[in-house]
This record gives sequence, C-alpha cells and structure tokens, in this order.
Amino acid sequence: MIDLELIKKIAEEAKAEFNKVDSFEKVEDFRIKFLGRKGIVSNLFEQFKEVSKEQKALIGKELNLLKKNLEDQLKLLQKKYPKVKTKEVVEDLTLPGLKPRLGAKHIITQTLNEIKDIFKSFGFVIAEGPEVESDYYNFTALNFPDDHPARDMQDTFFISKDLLLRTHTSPVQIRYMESHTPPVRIIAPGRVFRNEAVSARSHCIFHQVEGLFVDYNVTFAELKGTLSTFAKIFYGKDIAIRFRPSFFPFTEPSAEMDVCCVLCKGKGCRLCKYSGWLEILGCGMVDPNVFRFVNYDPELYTGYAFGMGIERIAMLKYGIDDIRIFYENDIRFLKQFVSL
Amino acid sequence: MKISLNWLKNYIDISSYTVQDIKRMLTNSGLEVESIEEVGKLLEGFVVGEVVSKSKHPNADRLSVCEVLDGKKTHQVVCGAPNVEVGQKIVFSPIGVIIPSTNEKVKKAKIRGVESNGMICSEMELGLGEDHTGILVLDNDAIPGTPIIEYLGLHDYILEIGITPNRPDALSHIGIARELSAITGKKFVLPKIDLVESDELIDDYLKVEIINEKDCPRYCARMVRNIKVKESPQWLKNYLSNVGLRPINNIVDISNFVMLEFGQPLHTFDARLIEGGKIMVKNAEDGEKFITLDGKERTLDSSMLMICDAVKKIAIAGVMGGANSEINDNTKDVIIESAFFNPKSIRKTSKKLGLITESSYRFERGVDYKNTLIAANRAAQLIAELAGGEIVKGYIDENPIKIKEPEVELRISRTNQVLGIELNRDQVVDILQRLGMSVQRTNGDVLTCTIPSFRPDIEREIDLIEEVSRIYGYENISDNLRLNFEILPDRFSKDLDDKIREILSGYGLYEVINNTLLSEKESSFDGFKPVKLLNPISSDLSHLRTSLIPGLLKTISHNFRFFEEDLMLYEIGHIMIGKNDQPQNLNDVIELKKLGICITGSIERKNWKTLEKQSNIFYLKGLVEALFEKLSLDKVSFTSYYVSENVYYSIRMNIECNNNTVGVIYNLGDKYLKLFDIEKDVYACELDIGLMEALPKRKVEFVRLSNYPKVERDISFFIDSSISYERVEQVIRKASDMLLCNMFLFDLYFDPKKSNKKSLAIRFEFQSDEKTLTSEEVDLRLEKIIKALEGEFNIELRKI
Repeated sequence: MIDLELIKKIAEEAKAEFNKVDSFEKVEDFRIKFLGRKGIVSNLFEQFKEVSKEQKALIGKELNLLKKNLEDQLKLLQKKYPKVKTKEVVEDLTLPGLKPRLGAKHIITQTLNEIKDIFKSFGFVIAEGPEVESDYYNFTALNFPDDHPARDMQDTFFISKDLLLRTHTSPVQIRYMESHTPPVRIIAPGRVFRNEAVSARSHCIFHQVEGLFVDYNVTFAELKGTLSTFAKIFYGKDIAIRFRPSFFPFTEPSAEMDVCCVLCKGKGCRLCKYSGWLEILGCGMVDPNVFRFVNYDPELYTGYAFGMGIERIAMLKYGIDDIRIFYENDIRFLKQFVSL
Repeated sequence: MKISLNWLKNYIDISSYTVQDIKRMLTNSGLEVESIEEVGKLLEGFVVGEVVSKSKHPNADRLSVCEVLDGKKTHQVVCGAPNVEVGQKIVFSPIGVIIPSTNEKVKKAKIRGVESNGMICSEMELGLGEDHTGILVLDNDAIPGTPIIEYLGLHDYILEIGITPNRPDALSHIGIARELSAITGKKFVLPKIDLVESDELIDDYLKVEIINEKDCPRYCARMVRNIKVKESPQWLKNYLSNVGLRPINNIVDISNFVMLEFGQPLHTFDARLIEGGKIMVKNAEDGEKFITLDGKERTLDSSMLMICDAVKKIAIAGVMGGANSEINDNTKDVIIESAFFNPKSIRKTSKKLGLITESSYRFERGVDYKNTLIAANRAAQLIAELAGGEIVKGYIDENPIKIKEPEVELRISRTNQVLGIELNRDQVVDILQRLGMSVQRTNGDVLTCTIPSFRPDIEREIDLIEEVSRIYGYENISDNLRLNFEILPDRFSKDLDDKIREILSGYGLYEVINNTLLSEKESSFDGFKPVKLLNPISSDLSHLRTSLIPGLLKTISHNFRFFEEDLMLYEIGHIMIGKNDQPQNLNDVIELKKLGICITGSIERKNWKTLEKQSNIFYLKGLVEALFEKLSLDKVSFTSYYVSENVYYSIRMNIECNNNTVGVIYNLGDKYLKLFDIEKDVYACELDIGLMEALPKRKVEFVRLSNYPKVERDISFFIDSSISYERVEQVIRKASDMLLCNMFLFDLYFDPKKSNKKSLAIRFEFQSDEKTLTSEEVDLRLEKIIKALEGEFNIELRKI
C-alpha cells in the first residue's frame, strides 16, 4: 500500500541508483525502472487511485514531488550521458561508403562544351545542320568549283550524285546565312565524315566546331584576336600561338592556327613532328564568293570563319594516341573522365 | 612535295640563311614545311680511295688482295668484286665505319687467312643504288682521301612542303626560289639556256596539229637526234633520288629534272616510233583501249584528250605516255613534248582512270603557260649535254588559244579594311612587285596589277589582299577582339541536348558516341529502311543507322567482353531513314536527332548494406518520367503499351507527351540481342529530341507552402490481377479532391492461395493549405475512395 514511507524509500533507492549510472544504457535502465510506462512511478500513481480521500492531498503532493525529482535526475543523467546512435553498426566506421553511381558525359562532349563556353562568352550562339548534306551545301556554295583539285582535300562518302555525308561543319555557315541577316555570330558543332580507312590516327567519323562571324568591318585582325584569346583561355594565357597562311576554298585569306606543342614546349618531339607547333584550327576571312551564294553583299559585309576538330584537341589535351578509343566506348575509358 | 636545298641554291643565294630560317620563312608565307630530312649523313667516314695494287688471294680463287691508298697511307683489303682493277678510284670504308645497307660496322678481319683492313664498297652497300655486281668505280679525277659526301655532293637538306591546291606555282624548285625571293627580296635567277642547233629543220621531221584547241591551248616540241640512252651522271641521280624519284635513264631523268625545276611536265617520245611524222592532239573514242607505259591497259572515253601520231594513240595527254612510243635503250632520236593542257580536262581524265601522276597533278592545278617553250628548250639543252646528240633546228609552238595575263584591281583602302591594318601605297606596291606583278598606279587608291602567268589562282581583289597579307606576315597583323556585340536570339533546342546530358549523367549514366556507319544488318531497327552509301570503306560500315539502339548494343557487347556487365548508357545523335531505296536528294532522307538509352545488369550492386537492384523496365520508365519533369515538360504517359511477338523486342511501350508519341521503351528480344552476342536482358529507350523541343514547356511558378501537417493513410486490398494499376489510380483520382496531395503504390503482392488476385497496398497523403485536417475529415475521404473502388472493381480489403 502506498504511503509516505514507501515514497521516501523509493526516493532513496533512486538516489543510490542515480549515483551508479555511468553510461547511456544505464540512464535508460534508470528511466525505464522509475519513469517508464510500467515503471515504479507509474505503478505508484496506479496505486494512488486507491488512497483514501483524506490522505490523497498529502500523498499526492509527495508523489508529484518524487516524480519531479526523478525527472530532474533523469534530465541531469541524460545530459551527462547523451544518447549515442545505436541504430547502425557503429563499431567500424571504416566500412566503405555507399557511393552513388557516377555517370559522365563523353570526353568529346566535355571538350566541345569547354570550347562552346568560351565562344558563348564572346557572344556566339549555337547553330546546327544535318549530317546528310547536298553537294551544294557541302561544296558548291562553299566555293569548291566542280572538278577542282580542292575537292580532293576531303574524301567524301556519297549516297547519290548530289547527296553525301558532310565532310565538314561548314555547310551550317551557308544554311545559317540563308536564313539570317547579319550580324551573324555562330558556332556550329557536329559530326563529320571522311572516306578514310580507320586507323589510330584517322577515322571515318569525327566532330568539328565551326565558327562564323559576319558583320560590317570584320577584319583579319579580329579573327586573330578572337582565336588567340580562345587559345589563351583554353590552353593558358602564356601559350605561344602562331598564324600561318593556308588555303581553304571558302576563306580568303586563309590561315592555320598553331599553338606551341603542349608536350615538348616547342623544342620538337614526336607529337609535333619535331616542329614545336601543333595545328589546332583552320580559319580565314569568308570568301566573297560564299557571300554571293547566300545573297550577302560582299562589299558591305566581311566576316571570318574557323573550324577545329574536337577529337584532335581532346587527344592533345589528354595524351590519347588512338582516335578509335573515342567510339569504342569502353566503360573503363568513359570512367576516366567523370571528374570534369 | 620534296625540295632539295642544294638544288634550290642554283636559283637563289640563300647562303645567309640556315635551313631552319628557310623553314620558318616558307611556313609563314603559306608553304608549310612539314619536315626536314638531312641526307648524306649515312656516308660519313667513307673516303675516295685508289687501288694501288692487286694480287690473287693465296687461298681463294674469287678473292683478290688489294692495297688501297686513302690519301695518306695504304691499307690491305681483301676484295671479292670481279671488277676491281689497279688504278681505279673507289669508295673506301676504313675500319669503324658503318655500312648503310647492313648497318654493320667494318671490322678488322682475317679472310681465308689474309688480313683485311677495310672495305671497297658497291653501290648497293652504300645505299646509292641497286647495283651489287661489283664495286662502285668513281671517275678518274677523284682525289684519294676526299670524303665521299663531299665528292658526290651528297650532303643536302630535303624539305617536305605541303602545297595547297591553290599554289601550282610552288610545285617546282624555281617556284620555291621565286617565293623565297618575294619573302627575302633577294634576286632569283633562271638557268641559262644556250642551244647549239644542227642544220636539220624540225619541220622536216614533225608536224603538230591540235584538233581539240580548248583542251590544248599550247603545244611545243623539240627534237634531238643521235642521242645515246644511258645512265645519268651522279649529280642528276643524286638530285632525283634525294627528292624521291628513282633514276631510270638520262632521257627520262632529264624530263623529270626539268619538271621539278620549272614545274612543267614534259613527255619524251622515241621519234622513230612516231609514224607519219605527225602529232595530233585530239580526243579518244569511247571504249578504246590503250596501254600506258606502266604496262597497264586503260579503257578510254571520248572526253579524254590524247596525243596521237598519224595512225595511233601515243599518250594520254598530261597523264601518262604510251608503251608504244616510250624511250628505250635503242632510242636514237627524241621528241620532247611540252604543252599547256586545260586543267579541268586533265583532272577529269585522271579521275576517271584513277591514275594520278606527277604530270597530271601539276596540269590539273595549272602550269605556267609561259614556260611551255622554255622547258622544252631546257630539256633539249640537257639532253644534248648529257646524252650527246644534236638539237634539230627550230621548234614547234602551236598556240591556238593565247592566254592573256589578267589584270586585277586592288584598292589599298579595302586591303586595310579587310585585314585591319594600315599599309600605305608604297608598302602594298612593294609586296606586289616582289611577287612578280607589274603594278600600274591608276589613281590614289586603286592599283591595277598584271597577274603573272604562274599564278592562275589570282583572279580577284580578295586574292591580291591575301597575297599582301601573306607576304606582309600574319604575325605582323596585331590582334583585335571585338567585345561590344549585339544580343543575338538564343535557341532552346541546343540547350536541350546539354540539359539531357546533365540530367542523365547525374543519374549515373555514361554518355557514349557511336559510329553513324554500320553494316546493313546492324543499321536497320524495327523495319526502318537504312540509307546506303555508294562508296563505303567496307561492308561493315556501309549503311547509316536508323536507330541509336544498335550502336548502344555494340557498345554493350564490347564491354561484356571485358566483363563489364552493369551498364547504363545513353547517346544523343542523328539517325537517318531513307524514304525510298535510292535517295537522290535531301527530301528523300529523314534525319532525326534522337536520345537512346540502354540499361543492363544491376542498377545497384549488392553491397554490405543493401541488396542488389537489377535493371528492369520500370527503372527506365521512371527515368523517362524524371527526365521530362526535370526538363519542365508535361507529364509523360505510357498509354499504348502492348506486348507482341517481334524480332526486335518483347515489350514495347510508347512514351506519350502532350498527345505526341515522343519515344518508345523496349524490352529487347533475345533473338535480336543474340546478333550482338548479348545473352542478358537489355532495356532500351529511344526518344525524338526534335519532338521534345517542340513540346510546350511548363512555366515554373511558385506555390505557397502549406503550414499544416500531412496526414497519412494506407489501404491494402485484393483485386483481379487483370486490372491495371493505371485503372485503379484513375478511379481513386476521380473519387478524390484537392486534399489528396500524394499517393503511391508501396507494395504489390500475389497470394499463392488466391489465384488471379493481387494485393495492392497504397499510401495516401492528405494535406490542406488552410487548416489541420481532423481524423474524421481524412477518414471520410478514404471511405469515399474505398467506396469508389468497390463500386468499380471486385475488391477485398485487407487488414494491415
């Protein structure tokens, strides 16, 4: 039967237990024993219902006091011995983490994006065109005369006499100019095809980025400025760059841009064929004949165009010596480029 | 093209430049020097020797023992050559020298008991030729002790120059000398040509008639009589072999020499094999056969220009001579042909015959029409010098179409405008004159330039601007970057590709890039007609892909070979479908940009904490849903899915969005996968990016957040297996109001004791924006849902 004696006895017992607690587990034991749903205090309150009316006020007061003291003690203990997570296996935190799958864009895409981002920051927008092209867009409108040796520069896959797989992304220049008036400032990435035997150094498919800027008073000096700035952002601001004359039917004057060999720093090595330079892109001022094909007045407008091979740039950047690996898509290769 | 520096020195004084200077100057002016080869190095150490005595080897009949003087002292050498004689000047290799042909060091040796201190070398051992029957005997005036490199004039630098198609003028040593002269300002000189002619007149021997004048505007000929066909002298052989041409005999070598000197291809005929004393230039007849001097029979057609005598064809004009009139060991009289043929005609013929020669290469690019006679004279001079013989008096120069040197106007202001520089008149004029143009100053800004005959590429003002920029030097044009530009319209479509890549790579998929070209079998998928190439590299790469899936499967197959079996891959690329069997123009081909996804193996491998998650079609379905959501496109549905017997797939699910079928999900068929050696399940999906671009985009709008708690309720019930979840969901949605904010299926269970029944367990989440929902309000809604389900289907509620 509940009485003041019992309450006092329990208070003392609790006091003794309180002093013995030295861990979270024992705090829990303490809580369960005294304050749990079926613990001593709860049991006392159960018995309290049967206490006579006259005693209720006194015992009730003591009982509440006991409960409050025990709760205070528990709080103290819980503060002293906080709960440690016990849901997980905690003994060995060196167990491997549960890593999500990584995933990555293809290195060609990543390289292209790097190039795109630079030109986007110069104000260029993206344009695209089809991979199956007509002879007109791929050659004629780009000032490749019929039966001209310039056509030999690019071995072509034909579907019919007039239908082919584009050998460069330059047809996008024509398509874009046909449907837009200057100023035109585009880059056109895409897949191109060459009828060449597949080897470590050349493939029948590869990817290019084409660039075109047409406006009033566009100069060769600007072509140089834009492309050297591109190269300096891409390769680092101290990279040596040179422009040398070259030939493309759709530009005049034409140039190749070389950067200092990334491997030998210009001393000459196998990569740069002992020249100290690496050919990065072809460029030039848009030939007036090209403007005539798209009904731009070549007296009024000038422009520059450029094109580069993405595979080549990626190969040089990452030291890849076999172009075929790009299209093999070996997952072990793809996984090497997750970090970019 | 290969250029010999020694050869070049005949026309321009470049002694003050190193080979690296020359390389830089040419490259910077547009004639890219791709490589430099130093020749003669291999013959270091060899000297001229004199055989001072010769005696029979005591122990071998075929060997002799010689004393060789190297200029200072004599060496005893055992020699096996049959042609060794006392007094000969020979090539002596002292001990320690490396023999080029064998790459072995000459050592002191005892040969059949006799000491030998060096070697007397044959042409072959030295790598100078193919003669190995005896030692190489030098001319008698050779001085013992002279290094062989010096004696033979062998030391040279050979520049490999990449000549672009617009520069036919640079396809010769004189052309390169002329270019160097323009760059450096140094004079260049043409070889002196003095001809001593006999009394006989060429007109008595030869008449030339040009029938097709358009394709042969000029034809010159010279004749040299009583020549002797023999080996060329060493200097000529060296020149030719250093630039990659095999010496043949003095006549052929001379015509090659003149071609490489002037850039004018020549042909030489044996005059006695030319019948009727007549040469005619006319077209072949269709189907005619002709044996070229390489011994091959060629089939001609009427577009091809031929050189003929009175009765037969003797050469394919500008491409290759005929076997029936070529120079041979018995040739006594030679006719030298030097002509200017129409570049287009030569190119057509060369292409049709698949026959590209040094000659056709130059003619199709355009030779200098002012060189025609000069080159014939030069060859006549050299033949008389090196093969004996007399030059018959006079020459033939049929020139029915006279080509005039064009005049092109150049504005200095335009030059500066295009290039972005500030050149003055004098600078521009100086550059043009250095390039061999005569410049008339008409008025202040405009220059009228007469274009020299060797530059057929210059026709317009812009061509002259290029010349000015080239010689002025690209490095002297300062960089300029324009940064104040207009805002141009951006395009969503191009961003879409990148967004898709971001999303899918973020979900752990790898992007792949596969070839557009596949075999016929691989290229078709689900009945689409592939486009065929007319000229494929091989039958493996003969057709264009009609789907991205075959390429993805090839990739999977490749990776399986390396035991990589858990693959989640995607590709964005173009596919092409032919509208008919033989597409002729762009309208006959449908080209679409697609996204392809393939997954196989496990999505998540088993690990110490969780079980393996196998790939399945629902993962792909969920991935597509997530993709559309992330792209702000409308919710996708998979309305018309069905299962059918098909080679390519066992399950096909159409992906619908905004009433368009934008793609398909497949469970690929085992038989089809076998084609790629795949024996595992592969789930694939192909979406049309073009259609996705056209879909309306959801506008992202902010929705105020509810401050009240969410209440969850679960129900579980048995229902006929045949009833689709989609139907159940539709009934539930119809019976619900706005307060149902989320529902999802959290368990699906088949009780073995209840056939044709499945148990669905669905969780509902209710929430209001306005208040805390009471139990009664929630239960009321749940009741309504259950009632609706009971009304529609035969369900049996389970207690949880």
